[in-house]
Amino acid sequence: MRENLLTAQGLVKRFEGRDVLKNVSLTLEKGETAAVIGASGAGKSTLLRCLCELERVDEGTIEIGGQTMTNGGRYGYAPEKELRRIRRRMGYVFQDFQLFPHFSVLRNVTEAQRCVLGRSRKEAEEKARALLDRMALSDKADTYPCFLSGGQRQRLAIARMLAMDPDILCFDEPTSALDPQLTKEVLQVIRSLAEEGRTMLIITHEMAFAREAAGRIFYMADGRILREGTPEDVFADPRVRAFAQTE
Amino acid sequence: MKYLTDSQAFFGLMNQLWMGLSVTLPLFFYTLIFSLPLGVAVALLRMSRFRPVAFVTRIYILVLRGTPLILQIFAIYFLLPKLLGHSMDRMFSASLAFVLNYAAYFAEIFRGGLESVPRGQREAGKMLGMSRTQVFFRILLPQMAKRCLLPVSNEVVTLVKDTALVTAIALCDMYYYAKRATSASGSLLPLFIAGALYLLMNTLVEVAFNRLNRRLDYYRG
Ligand SMILES: Nc1ncnc2c1ncn2[C@@H]1O[C@H](COP(=O)(O)OP(=O)(O)O)[C@@H](O)[C@H]1O
Ligand SMILES: [Mg+2]
Repeated sequence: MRENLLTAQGLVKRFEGRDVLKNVSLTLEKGETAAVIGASGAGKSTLLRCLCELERVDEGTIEIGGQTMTNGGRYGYAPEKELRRIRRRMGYVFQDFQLFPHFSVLRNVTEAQRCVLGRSRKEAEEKARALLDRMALSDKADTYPCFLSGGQRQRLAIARMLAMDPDILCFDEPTSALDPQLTKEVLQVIRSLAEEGRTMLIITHEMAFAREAAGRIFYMADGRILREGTPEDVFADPRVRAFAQTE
Repeated sequence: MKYLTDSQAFFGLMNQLWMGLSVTLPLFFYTLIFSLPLGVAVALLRMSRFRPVAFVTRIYILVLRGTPLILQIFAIYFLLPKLLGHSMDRMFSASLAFVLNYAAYFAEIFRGGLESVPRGQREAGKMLGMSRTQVFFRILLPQMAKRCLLPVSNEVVTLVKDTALVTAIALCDMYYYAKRATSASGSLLPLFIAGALYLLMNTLVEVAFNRLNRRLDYYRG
């Protein structure tokens, strides 16, 4: 039985009267890795941000794991308390990391565990150390984010997100601030998460990565999802091929 | 010349300045202790998305920064008792005027500091499930503090010197005694000594802020 973890229908988002999302619908099944591709300005980030309630849609409905985030546009949003609960199921990795500069590497990973999930210091640190270990950052636990390389920063951001046990992992161009070598490191980590059967939604400009790691591709242009399907199908579309060649 | 030749007069003067410090120093510390947190609150009200609140706060800041502190001290000392119907302690009214005035300055500094923390920091906290209060106290406030240290230290240095204004409502602070001794003796020495003591206080302020700055220097950004 396939289970939809995320269902969004008819999303419309306007910025200053301009439609940036024009009737976008998508679903995400439990355990699948989906990639969103498309030219810059197509509305990919806006879509992801709307799904995480970093922006609010003007029209449409969003449901996450059976809980309703909005049942109809801007005025249909659930109360803040419930939104917090829903958001807790989502993890988000920012293009520019957004690590907490004033916290040590370890504390970046423990802080929310402690103050949001109420875990004890010991529990939170154990979890954090295991994740840092996985991200090959164990020897960095006591330093500060400003002393990490770009690739290490993004891996720390991933560890920080994973510590909260989210059901859906969202990545907004996780490698676009990194050089090719560091990009490889980070993509390797994301690939390993996909292999674990995590549910993921990844905006990426790495066409080879999308083709090989994602089970499903959404191709966006001008505020719409123009094409969705398996990598084979989507990359067979001449419009997508034309776009991919420019990347 | 009297103070240089007559040691008794000199020690009498020092004793008076010392008494004056028992007004100057509490005034300084009360102002600091209360206007810093109040400044944070005013900054938040100023940034409120509820327009009327932001507007009223803006007027508050405009008036308190836009009029002389000495007028505000007079206003609170003479007008507030009329409104309340009972008289008020001089020290209390002076402290109140200072707190309200400095909170307005601090608020603008803090607002700038808060706005300079990238929006993504708030979003990162939000996506980790933190409440708005948690995001503010754990993520934004510490980063704001670091960014505001230098402008705040400027205000604190000014505050040390501004305390002398309370002489105007006949509060016996250090400047009051120095001025009185100078008028009585014709010697400028009391004012010089008071000046040196203000300078000493501000040296301590500078040392304190340097230490604080070094303590917050463990990270960049
Ligand atoms: N906060 C905002 N205010 C105004 N316009 C915005 C805002 N965010 C995005 N946009 C506009 O929406 C369009 C889509 O942006 P975005 O979702 O970032 O595209 P992508 O991530 O695909 O590059 C762009 O034209 C962008 O200028
Ligand atoms: Mg984008």
